Amino acid sequence: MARSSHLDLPRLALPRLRLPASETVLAAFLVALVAALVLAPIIAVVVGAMQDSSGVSMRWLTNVLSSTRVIGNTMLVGVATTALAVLIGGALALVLVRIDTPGRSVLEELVILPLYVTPLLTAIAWSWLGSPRGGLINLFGREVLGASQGLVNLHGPAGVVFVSALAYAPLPFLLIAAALRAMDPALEESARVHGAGAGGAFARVSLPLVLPAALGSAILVFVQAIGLFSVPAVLGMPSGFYVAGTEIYRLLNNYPPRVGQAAAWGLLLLAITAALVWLQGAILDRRSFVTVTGKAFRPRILPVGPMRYAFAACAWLYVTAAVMLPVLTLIWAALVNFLTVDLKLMAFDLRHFEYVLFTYPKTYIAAQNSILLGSATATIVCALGLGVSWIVVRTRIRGRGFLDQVSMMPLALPSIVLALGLLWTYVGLTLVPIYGTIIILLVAYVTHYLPFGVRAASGALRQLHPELEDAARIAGASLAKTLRFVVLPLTRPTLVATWTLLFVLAMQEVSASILLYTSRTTVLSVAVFDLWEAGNVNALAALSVLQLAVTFVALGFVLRARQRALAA
Amino acid sequence: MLPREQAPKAWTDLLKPEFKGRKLVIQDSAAGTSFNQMYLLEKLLGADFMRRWGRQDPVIVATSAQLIDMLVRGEALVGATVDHFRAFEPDAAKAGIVGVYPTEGMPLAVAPIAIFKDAPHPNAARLFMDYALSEEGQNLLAVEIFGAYSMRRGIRPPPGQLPLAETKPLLPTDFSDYERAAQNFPETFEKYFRA
Repeated sequence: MARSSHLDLPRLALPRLRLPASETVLAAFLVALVAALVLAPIIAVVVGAMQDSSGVSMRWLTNVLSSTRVIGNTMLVGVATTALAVLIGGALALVLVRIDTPGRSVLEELVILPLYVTPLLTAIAWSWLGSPRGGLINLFGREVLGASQGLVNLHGPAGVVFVSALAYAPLPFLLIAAALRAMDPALEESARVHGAGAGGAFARVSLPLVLPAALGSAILVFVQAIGLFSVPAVLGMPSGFYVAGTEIYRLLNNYPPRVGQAAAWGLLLLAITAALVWLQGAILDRRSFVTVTGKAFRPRILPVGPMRYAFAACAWLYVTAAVMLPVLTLIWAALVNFLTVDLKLMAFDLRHFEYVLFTYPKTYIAAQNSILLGSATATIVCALGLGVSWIVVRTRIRGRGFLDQVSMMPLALPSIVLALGLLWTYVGLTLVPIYGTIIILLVAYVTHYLPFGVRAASGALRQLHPELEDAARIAGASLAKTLRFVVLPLTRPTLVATWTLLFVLAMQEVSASILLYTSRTTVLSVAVFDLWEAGNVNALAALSVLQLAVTFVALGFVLRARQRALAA
Repeated sequence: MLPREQAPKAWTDLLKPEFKGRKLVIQDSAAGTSFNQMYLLEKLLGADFMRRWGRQDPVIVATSAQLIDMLVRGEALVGATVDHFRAFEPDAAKAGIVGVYPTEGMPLAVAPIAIFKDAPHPNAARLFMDYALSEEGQNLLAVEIFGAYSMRRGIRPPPGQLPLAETKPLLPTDFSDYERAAQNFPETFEKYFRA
């Protein structure tokens, strides 16, 4: 629709025509696309769980509900991981935002690093460190300290919870730290004026105000934890500790496969997360938590004396356990000939790097696919995020509330359930022949990371005054031109940072990829898991060291870009 | 690691008390070959053996490579692999793994070769099949690459392994029963090893 400016101007006077058709078209397109992405797999899981070869059947659901031990294990991992992760994340937020901890600006960057190291690698490294008989810690205890008993055993529920909590603690940290920063210090001061002690003011005023952030992050962690596959696969399965995520994987890989029962597990996880999201709404609805106003605050830093060194040590301990020790273990495992109980047999050896670089047939195809998927996912999610948030923030089109809600739903959708739904949706859908191709992985990634794109873009959009866009429209620019030449350049710093983070996150994805890949569409994280199943642990270490190197180079790029943006 | 002389000699040795509680490794119900192993052992030694085996609380892994890795890293003592050749691979032998042929016999998984009915290049497939089944092909594919036994006469066993004639291979006899049991394998495995 090419229109000249003088044709547009008189139209502006007519209120009923305030919405030009292009916005409605964009909104309709996005609603259809997002609904197809998010709702189709959910519906497919529900349908798949309730039918077998003979028609409608409750057989799979009954089977699943009678597996009380696995359900119990799943809930245990969900609840304990969430509690521990929120505890660690909340404590880190306090220590780094409200206390005069030395080195807190560096630590703030370091404690979120676990987000960029896939829990699969952390779990594998901790399994080498803490397995009951052959684990390095126990070997050290036996050979050096002369311990007759093993010192630690991370194969089992405790190990799964420990590693998962280490991996997910950055989520509560980010949300709670943001809430602490956004709080008006006057609230605590008025409590002090009315006679409360420093601790009392904090406990009675600030803690309740952090509740929404803590609850919100708890739900995020819980959804990830109950659908977790990689950590329980590595640390749980060897000790006979199974959870829903490993059951879904097992049932699909069984001989013969039990797809309907896998879908029934997916449905159970969906029901649990839906109930929780509802519960969160019910808890938070009853009270008002508005403390974030237009004013910017500087959180008050509490001086705690020499205790601050102890706090710093705790934060460093977290960084060591969650990132440094696992990464060092991987590097070490990549550099020895093989891992065995007999320390004397292990020797320095570069052949594993040689193997993954020059012999292992999957390295290049997986790296190629991961980079392709990472960049395509990041680009599409940024574009969709900008489009969706523009409709939600800038227009009053009907259905924008629906668009907002549906595009946030993947946060409550464990990625293994999403992948299961996509399998069910596209296996028989010859109209959209994406089953077994790289496109189905792309669809999974885009759906899974959509909320990140929408949140980042709407944050950036809310900071832009609409008058800039209005000016462009009044001057005759079309919607497409306005988005391209006004909105896009102004949101670019945010989008560049979001793009890179999405790229890094997509490179780490395991739970959805493991159900959707084929030999030609395998990705790096799946190649790592393949090597794990193939028992080729040193090659695995070498491959993951290479993968981590790429990740950290990309992260370094984000940090530099951010510093440049701050300097400008 | 288990001293060589304490290694089990028969399947029923796996029921000894010293192998109770995460000392044995078995493979998950993730493959036709693991169905083959469990089916033949159940036929030979009975449901009671299977139940008692399950009560030994073995470690369950997905693949035979993981099974060997568990033994090499000293996480478990004995593994009932479905791919016997893993135990004879150079790295496993170097790490002290010893392959045992159980006295009752070993379930034999037969690896078939076939051509799809509507294969796009049936002649190329036939040529490949002829080669794969030839003396040269069997020596290369079965023995050298996989370390498995060849069904062709006159092919020597892989290095370190007994000649096939000196082993006691177990094979299914009733194929309709075999087929029926295969359909229920996930549930059977569940009953014995994950109850």
